[in-house]
Amino acid sequence: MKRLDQIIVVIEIFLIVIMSIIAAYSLFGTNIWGYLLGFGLILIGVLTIVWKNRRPEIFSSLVILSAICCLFQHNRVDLLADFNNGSLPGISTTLIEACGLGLVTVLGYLMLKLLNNIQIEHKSLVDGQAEKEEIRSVTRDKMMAAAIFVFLSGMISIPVILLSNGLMVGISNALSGFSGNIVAIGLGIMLLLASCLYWLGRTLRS
Amino acid sequence: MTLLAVSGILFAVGAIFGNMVLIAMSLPPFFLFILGVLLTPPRRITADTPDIPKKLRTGQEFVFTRKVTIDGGVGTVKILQKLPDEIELLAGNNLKVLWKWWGTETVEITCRLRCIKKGGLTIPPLQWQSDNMIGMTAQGNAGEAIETTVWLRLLTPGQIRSLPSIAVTPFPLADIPRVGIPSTDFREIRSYVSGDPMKNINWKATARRHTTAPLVNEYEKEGKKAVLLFLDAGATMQVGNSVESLLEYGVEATSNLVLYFTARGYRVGLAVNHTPSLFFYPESGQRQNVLILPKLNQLKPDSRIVPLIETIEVFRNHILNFDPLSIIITSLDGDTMNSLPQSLRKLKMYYSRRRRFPILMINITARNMIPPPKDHATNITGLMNLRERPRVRAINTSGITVADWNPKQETFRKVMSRQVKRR
Repeated sequence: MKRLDQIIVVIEIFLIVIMSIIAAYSLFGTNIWGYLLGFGLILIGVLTIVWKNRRPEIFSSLVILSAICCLFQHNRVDLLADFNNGSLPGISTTLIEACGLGLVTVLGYLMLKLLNNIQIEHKSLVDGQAEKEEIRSVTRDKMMAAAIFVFLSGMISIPVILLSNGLMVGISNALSGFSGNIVAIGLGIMLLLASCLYWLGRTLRS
Repeated sequence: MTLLAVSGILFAVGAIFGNMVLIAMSLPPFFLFILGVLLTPPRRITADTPDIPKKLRTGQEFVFTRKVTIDGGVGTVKILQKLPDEIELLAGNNLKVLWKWWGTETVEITCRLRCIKKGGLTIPPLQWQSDNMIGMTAQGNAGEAIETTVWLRLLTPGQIRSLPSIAVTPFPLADIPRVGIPSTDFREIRSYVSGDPMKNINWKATARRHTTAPLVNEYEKEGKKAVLLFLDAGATMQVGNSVESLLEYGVEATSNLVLYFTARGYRVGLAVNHTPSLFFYPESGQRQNVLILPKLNQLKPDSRIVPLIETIEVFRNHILNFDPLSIIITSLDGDTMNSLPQSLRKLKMYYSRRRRFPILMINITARNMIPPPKDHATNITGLMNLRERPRVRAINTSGITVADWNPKQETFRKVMSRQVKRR
């Protein structure tokens, strides 16, 4: 039982380190600030997720914020043209590299979230005096299922990304010839998406 | 919903900035959510209803097994068989947890249980809760509730025997009744009194005596003396917890006394100071068992306090006319208000003056129900003992026999054996 707990912690630390290194590298490269940022992110991740057993949202948000400059280099709508004379900090990456960076970050977040849920449930089962063998079996199967689910969601995403990349080029070309305010279009899409999500949430709840 | 929110935010920001990477990042949480929605938590859970005896006894052990079938969905399933207070889990576990993949799965919950408290017993339906990978949950009940009754452990007949000799205590084992149908066993010749049947006049004896008043044959009466039981169910007996209390032991003692005396032909009456009142006028035969024992089995602690003295008053006429043995089942440990001496004085008033009253008090001691003290300053059990000793002595010297029963140290059978001991 203790061993399974330790395995979860090791996996969590591994994910935290990978995500932190990638985020720090994407912002500062391999200079001293990069190392400092990486170390800071690892510290925050270990403190919040491993030590305090909190949800991984804070750590993941910081990772995404660190990597956002690198990711924003691939904006097709140049809303940040006036910011810092159009040049953003961070290493320059190709679209595929940036997608890889983004996917690692988000898949890492998903895995951390599921592992956190498993840890909470594991603790509640131990407190609830369930059989040790049953707890071990459930935790092991749940970890396996989490890995499969996250892997599957990543695998399904890759062909969709490749397909939609071509579509995105077409959409951005069409939008570039559009005379209306691009911010208004973006907000409209966002509202539409929010409405869809709200409807989906209501349907699922009912 | 967190997954959808994360996906939505990433997609929205990606859409505003025309950022393909952020849109790509929004896809895994979305697909994980879709996978979670498609693979719902297991919902079709059924359980069989096992057969357990309709009549159990306190202390009886039995095996309880429920077969559970889980169908559909993927996720964790927690199955809980709640157990009522009247039952103690000896072996096994009433909680089962498993992860279910695709297909149908069958599991068994097996527990070894022991009945620890009398009364109606309901084992509720099985409770289950399931959740899948993304935290969608489902819950419900499976199987049916099982109803049964737990009866008190009663003494088997013949466990306490009596020999014809002088009793140490006023147990009416060889007493004769004042009323009843005359048998054919000759007892004595006495003078005629008004109301004696003519056929009982012994003409030969009357002629020999040369008396004006005829002499009549007296025959032994059928049946035996009456016994009145007074069970104190008031505040005095509410020491203990939901499983083990003075009242529980009091009921056990009363049930055993009822069974003991009815089996020997005594006329047994019972009064319980409970709300609603519980009175059974003295009758003999097994019918009394059938009437009294189920009522005692269902007796629950009463929050409203009815003094014992009131129940004694109910049998006033009966005591005055028939001079029965009275047995009071109470506890001096729980009598913090010191109301018992008043009740005993009242009871003694109804008996004729004699050296020893036919009153027996079963004093159930609560001392061993209290956890053992850690230091001398909080030695409550010792203090209770010191407080009780002079009170017992005072009751004893007033002509009432006190029989102490410590349920933690001895069975009621031993107490009974002590009372029927002969010189």
